[in-house]
Formats: sequence, structure tokens, C-alpha cells
Amino acid sequence: MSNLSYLFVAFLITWIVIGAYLWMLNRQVQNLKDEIDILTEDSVLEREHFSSTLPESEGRAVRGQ
Amino acid sequence: MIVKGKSSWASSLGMVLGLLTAITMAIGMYLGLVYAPKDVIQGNAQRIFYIHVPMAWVAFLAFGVVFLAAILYLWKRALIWDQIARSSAEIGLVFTTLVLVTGSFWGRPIWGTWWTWDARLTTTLLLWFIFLGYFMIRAYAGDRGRAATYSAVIGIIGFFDVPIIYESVNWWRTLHPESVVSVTSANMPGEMVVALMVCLLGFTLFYLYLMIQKFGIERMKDQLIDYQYALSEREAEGVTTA
Repeated sequence: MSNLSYLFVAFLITWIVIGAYLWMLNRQVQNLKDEIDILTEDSVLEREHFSSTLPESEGRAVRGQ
Repeated sequence: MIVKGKSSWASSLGMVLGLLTAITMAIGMYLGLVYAPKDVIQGNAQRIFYIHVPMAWVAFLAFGVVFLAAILYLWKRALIWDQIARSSAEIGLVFTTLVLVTGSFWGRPIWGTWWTWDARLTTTLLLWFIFLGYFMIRAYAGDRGRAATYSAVIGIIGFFDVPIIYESVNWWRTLHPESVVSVTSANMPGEMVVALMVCLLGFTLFYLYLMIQKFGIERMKDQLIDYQYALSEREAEGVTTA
């Protein structure tokens, strides 16, 4: 390998690793957002279910109406 | 309550920093690869210097932040300091890995070997292992508070390796060259100094950008854990009252 090849490979590896790390951070954000969406939906459903078992006036209060 | 995504100021700051980083990096790469003269003895391999040194600087900076945040966590016991420490430790570990790899690609054509048990290389490898241990402890500690405490202690101890790495070329006889740039003088042509400074600035901005991203993720992770814990407690309460 000539000196230029070492330079090329060192830069290539660096940018591949940095690119992979940025991609990984982006994936982490997406996964966390998905998890929050699921939890929020569960929480809303649970609250609606709970309020439907209560008398009308209390149910409205739980639903925040 | 879970804060979905990042606050608007953090998001805007992230975008501005991302843009500034990209511009500075592009200029730095141009200066390092085209503008700066080729080294007479080392040839083009010397240009690895323009990413190797800034990445080493970022790794030291990251572990310095870990050191300060770890002390503050042990003192205040506020989760935010642990979030900052673990975000910075991860970035530091990534950059230390790249420093070892790029150093190896620089050493092969110049020293004739990929690796040697030189004082600077060995102490840098030691730093890499210490912060690998930092994340292993976190993974196995189980409880969040215990993980934060153990890793804070490792973060503080690990940082003491940084000045040893820096001074290793002065304290021991090494293959690794001594520092060519200091605060007061530079032992190389002006074009090389300019290229190095721009690359240093670019990588420092990149560190700040990564810190904003990673800190946001760690904060969201903790909020999610708290929320899941609150939900499970409420479910348990429902079972006992029913």
C-alpha cells in the first residue's frame, strides 16, 4: 500500500464510523418516540375504559370534559 | 409527564450546530487534504494528523466533561449529571476508538508496524478499556442509582489517565512524536497550523452537536423508565384495591 492508501482508508473508516454512530443515534430517537406513542395510547385507552365504568358525571370529570 | 422529542431551543441549537459543524468540517478537510503542504518525510500519511489530533482532543474533552459531571453527580445526586456524564462517555469512547484506529493507519507506513507497546499507545488503550468498563458496569449494575454511582467513580478514576497520556511522550522514551503545537508555539508550517486549527474547531463543534443529541436521548430514556414505573405502580394499586 502506498502512503496515499493509508490516508484514504483512515479517512474512510473514520467517516463510516461517524456516519454509523449518527444513524444509531437517530434510530434511538425513533425507537424512543415509538415507545412513548404506544405508552400514551395505552394510557388514553385505559383512562377511557376507566371513565366508562363510572357514573356519567364522574366519567366526564375523568375524561376532563 | 414525558417530554416528547426535544424542546424547541435545543432543537434549533442542534440544527445550527449541525450546520456549523458540516461547514467547518468541509473547510477543514479541504485545508488538510489540499491546502496544507505534503510532509517531506512522511508523505500523504501525515495528513491523517488532521483527523487524528482533533479526535484525540475531543476524546479528552469528553472525558473531562465526564469527570466534572461525575463529581457533580456524587455531590448533588441529581440525575441530570449522570445523563451528561454517560452521554459524554459514549462520545469519548467512540472517538478514542477512532484515535486508536487512525493512529494505527498512520503508524504502519511510518514505523513499519500497526501497533507497538509504546507509552502513549498503551495508556490510550488503557483509557479505552476503562471506559468500556464504564459501560459494562452500567449494564450489569441493575439499579439506576447504583449504575450511576459506580460509573461516576470509574469516570473520575478514568480521567486521571488523560494527563498521563498527554505527558507520556515527555516522561518516557516513545516512538510516538512529541506535541508539535502548544499554546505559545507551533513547530510546523503556518498552512499546517491553520488546517489543524480549523479541524480542531470543526470536531469541537461536532462534539457539542453530538452531546445535545445524546443528552436528549438519555433524558427521554429516563423519563420513559419513570413513566413505566409509575404505570406499573398504578396497576399494582388497582389490583390490591380490587
